[in-house]
Amino acid sequence: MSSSNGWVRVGSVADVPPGESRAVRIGEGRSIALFNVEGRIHATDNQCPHMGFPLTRGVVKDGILTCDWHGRSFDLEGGGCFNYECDDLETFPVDIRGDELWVQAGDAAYKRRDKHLQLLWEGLLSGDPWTISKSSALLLSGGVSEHDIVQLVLRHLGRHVASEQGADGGGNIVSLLVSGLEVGRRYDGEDRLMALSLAGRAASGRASERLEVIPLPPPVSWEQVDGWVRMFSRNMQDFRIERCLHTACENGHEDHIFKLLFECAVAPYFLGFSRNVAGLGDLARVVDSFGWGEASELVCNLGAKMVGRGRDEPERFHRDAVRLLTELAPNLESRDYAGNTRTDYDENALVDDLLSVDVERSFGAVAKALRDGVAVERLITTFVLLAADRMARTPVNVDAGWGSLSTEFNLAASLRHVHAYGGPAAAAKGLFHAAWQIFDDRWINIPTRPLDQPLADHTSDAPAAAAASDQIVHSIKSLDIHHVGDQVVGYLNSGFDGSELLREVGRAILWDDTNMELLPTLRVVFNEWEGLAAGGDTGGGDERGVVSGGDAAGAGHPSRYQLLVGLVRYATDVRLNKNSMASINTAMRFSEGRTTVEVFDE
Amino acid sequence: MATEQNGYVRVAGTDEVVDGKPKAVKVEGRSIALFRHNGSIYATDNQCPHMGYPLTRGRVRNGVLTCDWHGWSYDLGGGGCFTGGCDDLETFPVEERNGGVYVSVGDSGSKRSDAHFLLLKEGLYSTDQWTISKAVAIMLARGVSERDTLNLIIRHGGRHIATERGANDGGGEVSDFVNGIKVARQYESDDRIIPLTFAAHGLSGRAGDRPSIQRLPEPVSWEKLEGWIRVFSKDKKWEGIEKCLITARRMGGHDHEILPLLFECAMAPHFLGNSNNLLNIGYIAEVLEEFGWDEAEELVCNLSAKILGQERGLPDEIRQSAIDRFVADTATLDALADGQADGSDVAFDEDAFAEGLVSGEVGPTFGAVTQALKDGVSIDRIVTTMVVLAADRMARTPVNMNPGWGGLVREMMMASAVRKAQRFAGYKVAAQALYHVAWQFYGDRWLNITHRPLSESRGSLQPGSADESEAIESVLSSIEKIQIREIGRQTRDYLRSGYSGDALLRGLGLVILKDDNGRNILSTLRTIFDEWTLCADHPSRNQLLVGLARWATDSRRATGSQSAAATALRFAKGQTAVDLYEA
Repeated sequence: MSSSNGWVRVGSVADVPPGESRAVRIGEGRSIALFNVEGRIHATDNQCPHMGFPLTRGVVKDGILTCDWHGRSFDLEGGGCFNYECDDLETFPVDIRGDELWVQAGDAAYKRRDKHLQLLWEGLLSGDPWTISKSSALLLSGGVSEHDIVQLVLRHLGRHVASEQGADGGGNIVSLLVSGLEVGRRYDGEDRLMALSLAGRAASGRASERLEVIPLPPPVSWEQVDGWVRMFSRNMQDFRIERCLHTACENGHEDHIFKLLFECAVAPYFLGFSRNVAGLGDLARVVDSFGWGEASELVCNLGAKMVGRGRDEPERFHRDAVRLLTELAPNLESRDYAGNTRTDYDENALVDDLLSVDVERSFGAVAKALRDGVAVERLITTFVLLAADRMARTPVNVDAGWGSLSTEFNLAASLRHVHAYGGPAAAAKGLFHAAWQIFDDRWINIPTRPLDQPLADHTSDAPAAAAASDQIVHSIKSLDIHHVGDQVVGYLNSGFDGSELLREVGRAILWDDTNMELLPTLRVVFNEWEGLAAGGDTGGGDERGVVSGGDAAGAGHPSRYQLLVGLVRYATDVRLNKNSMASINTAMRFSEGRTTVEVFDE
Repeated sequence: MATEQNGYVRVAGTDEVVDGKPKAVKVEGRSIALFRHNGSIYATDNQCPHMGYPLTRGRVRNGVLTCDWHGWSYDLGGGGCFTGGCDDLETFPVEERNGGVYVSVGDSGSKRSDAHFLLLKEGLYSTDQWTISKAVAIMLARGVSERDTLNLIIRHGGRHIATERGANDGGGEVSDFVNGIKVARQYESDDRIIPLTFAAHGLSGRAGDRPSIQRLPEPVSWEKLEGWIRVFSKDKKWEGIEKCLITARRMGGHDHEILPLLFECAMAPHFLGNSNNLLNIGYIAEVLEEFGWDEAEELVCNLSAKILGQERGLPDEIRQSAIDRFVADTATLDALADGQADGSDVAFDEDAFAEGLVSGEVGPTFGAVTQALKDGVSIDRIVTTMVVLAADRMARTPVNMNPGWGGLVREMMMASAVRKAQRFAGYKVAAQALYHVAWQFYGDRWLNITHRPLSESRGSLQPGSADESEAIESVLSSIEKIQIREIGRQTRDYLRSGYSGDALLRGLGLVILKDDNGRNILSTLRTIFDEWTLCADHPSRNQLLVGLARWATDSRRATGSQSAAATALRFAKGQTAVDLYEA
């Protein structure tokens, strides 16, 4: 029933009486809407470009086709949409040959890349989750690379953060963005779309024009910029820092910027502002993956807001801790960390001191480990696993402290970024910030446990890995907080693949309403599980060069199961289960052309 | 102080400039600040780029110079400003030799040529009054192109209104812009700074990011777009209107048909009671006339779409019956033509017309308009009567209760805007607009103003003060001292002395502009400037000035916060705090 040039016979003229509409299917099942308006037949795509409702159910008046569902309106003839945040409608030439009705449906090639990028931008500006999911789905199914999509998101985000967000708000967004992208790479199909949509939604919000930041007039050397940024950081003058950073970019000194920012962020007076450290780590990841180009406004603005933020006069304990770290700092800075290669050390003693609720003892223990030549990476692993172990065991009878514990955990893991991008001296100082965070969380009622103590040795009662993993996911979804931890230990003791379980757990997390809250922790568990795998097999993960595999980081550590146990308990305890994420399925179906048209018209 | 061939001038002895003790020197009339810091010597402009404070009184730390007044900071070497977005400090090459300090002032080059526009942009984004007046002052004092400056403002305003404003607040901002420019034309040199600052300030504010609006795909025709704009205006769907307007622009060839359509939709019967539409579409028309479509497209398409597609409350019974009457009375307009076409000598009983207009009943109010139109009276003549009637009411409204200034000035401005409706959209739309003005008069029926025939002149010529400027001074001084009981009589006495009134109007305008309430009076002031000329032959024209003077007096605030304009002017001319401190 088709001829050359894509003309297809779709029926006879009598099939569409005046004033009525009909849906017909052509080619690979595509639904076309036919309208007979005052004797003239019009053909359009039957899927409403907004949300896929069948347009044959819409109303035509004054040449305007209006969809029944959300009232989006289109020029019936040319297909132009009259609303914001909506694509134009595809229309097709119609020919009447005798009493036969022919329609020329074009080829299926993807031609709307630019329109969909604009649609995504509109969604980012308005924050409408549907527009963001839909345009992302359309772009991905049209073969547009994630890299191109992210460039647009970064450009928008730079503006949004510069005009709307402070240090913490901006840091939170970047954390979600990086987490969504990194987690998304571990999935495909709807799961990947979900992770990317979360990243997009996190990055959305109003953005305003602002005066471009102009580099300082020459001559300005890097040494001057370096000195000024440190001074302005001490003096809490973020605007000034931004102009300095921008000048450095302009003068080709980008490569020095992160080291400087990390050094500012781990300064003693920033004790208690641990989000700076994690946030800068995420910014460094963004630049590492996507380059300075579109990211430079974001990095210069948010980096300046972080290290130039205002600080209150510290209270008593805080003041003592700052003084202690100030005394230790010169020694930490001057040390040559090339000699810090030890991986065997009394980890239990360090953990005891960290949990002693005595800042002097805690800081003293960290300083001693560094003096004793323990590798900074190895110490970071101790902090990461200590936090995971605390998450795996925190009682849920009062307040489990998930917010605090996940902060401990993510901060500890972010020290790997500090190490990679800011050097070992900055990472060593960062350990004290992590130690302070543990002191700050002293209200959480978790008994101390040596990290090398073996976990329970029971195995799973499920016959195979898949069944055992289903059992765990079922426990998460049924909020069985009291058994789910043991199930994970059993699963791992049975020799089943932890990475496989993690993927399933991650999927359950992505599709719950708490996904935004859990996303950064999920990302860190993915990375750490990979990095700490037994036998130093890092599995070729994304964090190459950040988590160095092998013994230096403490691979195969006996407590590494707690990474999964902690995550699973957290996910189970905070779960909401309202299933409001269904729009992602709709977006996916929409981008594949499988939409409500089928539901209504089959 | 001899200039060397290489442009260097000896300004001080080496030992006169020591660490911690900056020194100010004069070179070619400019004050230059000399600093010694970490052994080196630096020379900068002594006037702080922010507000003109002498920088020799500032502090230097780590190569950063900080002004004492508001804490603005600069790179002592390169002059880069760490505080504002674009206020870099001029620095000069300096040398020490033969026991002397030598500075080369001619060859600085550190100031950007676009500094004025950056400053203006910064002010537009931040809405900061000082930054805006400084940018305007620099434009006036240093010969920066006014056209380029206004173009920048209108483009910014388009984005600002598109992302931050609705129909009415956006219209109000365009009103400030247009009226500021028009009033500034009545003045020369420094007197223009306040109205131009009002203009720029009017369109200032955040400007959000937004993707450009794409045109509707082919095939579309102007006839379709026109029809759809009417449909969407009725249905309150402004996004569709904007899309149609953009499409019409992209298609080309129909620009001249857009304004008449906008006026027509804005004057539709369902908008009766919306007194903003006539004014705001009038301002949009003037923006287009001044700046053209290329500069003003975003503002015009977005704001007029929002105006035409705005939400409307359901009319109550009185308004509904007025709308019905309006529809019935205007049904026959097609058959009529402007009286002016057949000569303006048609008999027009102005007093009867005015009496109908303020009768307080919808029937006679609309009836008066309908009758005048049927009689073939020209729109211009009807408008003149309405304007003078409104002015007369302003000149006589009692101030013992609420004098109703808001409604009264609206009567006058709307009436005056009908002239624009006629000029841009023709007779029929202008005739419809008259009913909107009539409804405003009807709406003000609560005002306790006795009616008086307009054709009666207010008193005969009486010789008064022999010196015109003395007479003007006494009127202005009464305004400044808020002598509301005296001001009307004084103004009338002045006018009865036979002076033309032109000088008084300009003087009144300045006093108004300098008051804190100036911005509220700006649009009325502009209308009176226009109408003072247009109503020249009317026996009651003087009431324009009397009404204005009374309103200005009654609403005066006089807290003197417009003095920033004066500071800005001094700054732009380099006469600043430096002189006060270092004299």
